[in-house]
Amino acid sequence: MRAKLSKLFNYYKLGFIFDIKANIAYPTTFWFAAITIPLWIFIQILLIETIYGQTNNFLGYTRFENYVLFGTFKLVQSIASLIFFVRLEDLAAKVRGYSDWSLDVMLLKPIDSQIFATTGKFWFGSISSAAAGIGMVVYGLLHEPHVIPASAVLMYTMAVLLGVFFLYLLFLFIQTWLFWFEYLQIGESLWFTSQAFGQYPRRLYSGAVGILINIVMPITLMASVPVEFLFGQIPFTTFIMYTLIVAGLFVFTRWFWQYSIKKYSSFSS
Amino acid sequence: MSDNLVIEVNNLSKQFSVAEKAEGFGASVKSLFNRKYKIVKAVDKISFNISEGEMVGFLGPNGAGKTTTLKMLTGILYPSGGEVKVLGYTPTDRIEAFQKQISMVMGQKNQLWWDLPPTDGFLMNKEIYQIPSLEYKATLAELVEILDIRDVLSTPVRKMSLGQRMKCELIASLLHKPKLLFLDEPTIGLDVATQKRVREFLRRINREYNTTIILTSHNMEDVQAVCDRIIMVDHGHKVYDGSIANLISSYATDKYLQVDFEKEVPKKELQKIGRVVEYDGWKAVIAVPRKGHAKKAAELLTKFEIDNLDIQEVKLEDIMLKHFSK
Amino acid sequence: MKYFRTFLFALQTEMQYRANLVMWFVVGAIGPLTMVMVWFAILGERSDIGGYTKGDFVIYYLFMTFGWYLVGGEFSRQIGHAIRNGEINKTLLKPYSIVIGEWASEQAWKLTSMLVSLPALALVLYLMRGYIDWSFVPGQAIWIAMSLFFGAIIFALIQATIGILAFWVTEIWPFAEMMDVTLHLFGGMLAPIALLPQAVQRVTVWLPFRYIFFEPINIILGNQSDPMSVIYKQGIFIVVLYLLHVVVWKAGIRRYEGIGG
Repeated sequence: MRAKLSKLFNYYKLGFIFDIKANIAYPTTFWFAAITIPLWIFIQILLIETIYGQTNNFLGYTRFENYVLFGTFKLVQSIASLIFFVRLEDLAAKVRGYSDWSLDVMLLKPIDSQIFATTGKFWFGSISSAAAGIGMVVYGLLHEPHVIPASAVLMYTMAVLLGVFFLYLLFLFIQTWLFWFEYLQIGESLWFTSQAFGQYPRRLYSGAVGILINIVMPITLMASVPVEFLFGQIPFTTFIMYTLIVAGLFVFTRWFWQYSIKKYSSFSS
Repeated sequence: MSDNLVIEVNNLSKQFSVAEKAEGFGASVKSLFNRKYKIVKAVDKISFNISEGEMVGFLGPNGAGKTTTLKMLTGILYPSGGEVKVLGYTPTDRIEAFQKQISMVMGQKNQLWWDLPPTDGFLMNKEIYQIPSLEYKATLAELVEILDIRDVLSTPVRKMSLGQRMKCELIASLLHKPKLLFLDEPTIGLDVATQKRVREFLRRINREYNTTIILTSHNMEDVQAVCDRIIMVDHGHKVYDGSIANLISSYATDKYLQVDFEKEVPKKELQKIGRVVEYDGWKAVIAVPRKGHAKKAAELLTKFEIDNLDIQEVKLEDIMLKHFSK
Repeated sequence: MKYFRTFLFALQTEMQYRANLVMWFVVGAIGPLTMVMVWFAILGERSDIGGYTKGDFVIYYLFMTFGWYLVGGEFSRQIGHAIRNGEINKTLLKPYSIVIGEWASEQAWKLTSMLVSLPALALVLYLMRGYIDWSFVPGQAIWIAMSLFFGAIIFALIQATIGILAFWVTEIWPFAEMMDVTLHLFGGMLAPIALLPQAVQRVTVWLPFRYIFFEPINIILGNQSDPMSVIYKQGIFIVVLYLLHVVVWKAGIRRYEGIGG
């Protein structure tokens, strides 16, 4: 067990170092991304200002609380992209055999197929977005201070991490369909756009939609839930509920992955 | 070569269901709603055994099922039927202990980091295969020496030539000293000198480490130079399993007479001796029946003014083309 | 005609990959859907904001989703690829414009996506019929059609110019992203321009982006009392953008052929 964990740790460590080295060697893509990706933040700032030009309270959030909400959304999105984007996005080309690193090669290695094929490479282009997200959170809190005990910060952090892991499971679930549909090129776009649901308060979604977005596929874990923990609006037991939901999703997505690998008929032959 | 069986294959089959492509615009619209599928039998009840230390070549035309078979032996594909045991394991169980004893090199596919020197990719393999540091260093040094690529070790992979990349791929695949090495079209795209180097390398590791080598290739020279035994596959069936020499003597009913003339000879004259395979005025290759080929050679020598005459075996390609593609 | 054949071939390819068609529609609909929900939440019991009722918001964002297939696209990336991987070489020798070719090819997925999304469009209109208070004025039809057509040309010209930036830069996606951001900020894709902060509204007048989607939808909603002025302004932007494109193309080709491709 210890040897396995040590192998995993070294695998991630090496992957991290190699990606930093590659970015330093060929920095253009990194800089392009670092500059253009945060531009989307201006859109959200504009939206916040537009909304609060029409009302003082949007679903229980004031303007500056909304900055905290959106900053958290950006932070979770950026961390998830940093850690999980590359391999999962690449999976499309690998399953098709277009990439020169084919899935076949990966399946041969003595390392769990899901870990090797879906994690281990890092995308540093989202660092600037993460920084911008943190900036917005700080900006919101500075302009409208709340009393925030250490326990709330802890809950916030844990909820953020849970949200990041949920996004991995969501992307994994979407991309696993590549084994079943001949030409699914849309995984990355679907993953990013479905995150749009995550930047608004949970209260926005009611009825069947609410159950889907808040419970079954809890995208609101990205922002609304952590911020509610931060402001002390929900109890600790809610965190346990979300942990159980995410754990259930993990079991399901892993089963789906392993079942799909069985069905995998490598396209390159 | 020992009697220890490393691969046991019994009635192995693999079929794929492939969507039929619609021809024409109207059919394309129909296919939106009602997609037709057909079953393709890529491998159909194939059986064979391979012992430790053997060097076996899989031959066959495109789509014969060679690569599919290899992928079932390595656990990449799940068989549709039959049994396969490699080193005592069921490959698709993907047990770590099994994966640490095998390796596969695939033609144009690589496993190294594109933007970084190969040494980084080697390090990653070291971690994945959990190779002890001392052993890793020794094996790496040895392989680099044999393949003579010390100079490019610090060059990013994307800047290497195909030959250099292939050598690095081979090293990456052998760092953990696998018992079984699978190669799928390993010399594709390589220049002649590098191809030779790779073949010599494979023979050497078989000699020194007793590595069992399974190879698929279109390149007959690969197979003839490296393999003791060939298994021929066509339309998913095994059509031959034995030595190359035996194949040639059993199936080659002809011998080739390669002739260089002192002056131009009309093709019609040569056709009286045998079947003209190649003709260039001053040179020709004539196929004559195996039995009595010496007499035919003598006939050529007496009838024409000849500069040089070689008696050759029929090429492996020709046997394949003639007997095995339908 | 050669470009129509390009379009037909692309259409056949699209039909092969059915799953994609449905999914792209879903992807395109998510953003606008969340915006409708946001505006409904803001409106609450109010009848309108800035003259936009709940029904107007539904039509507005439906248009942003569906109208993308009429007016939008992203063929700049295809042009970029064609230039970077040398595919353009084939076309430079022939009387075939890679820009028009990629534009024609793109209409295939747009058409199929539009057809695939029609049932969803009908469903949404039916479900939301209680909110929608819109009547079609026959006299407006010609203005609607013209403004949509001109909007599409403006969009295509910007995409085409971004695409040919590939003559200078290795990756054009940052510019394509910037166009996306700008369309959201100044083109009304995020929210009706009339509801944005005043400072932003003033900037949009000088840029072509509001004339791609926002002005046509305004005409559709009946909020534009002088549609002729919109057509006129669209025409000006078309001329300016076309000239810009020609200048950039000539400079790009000179550079490309100078290097040897």
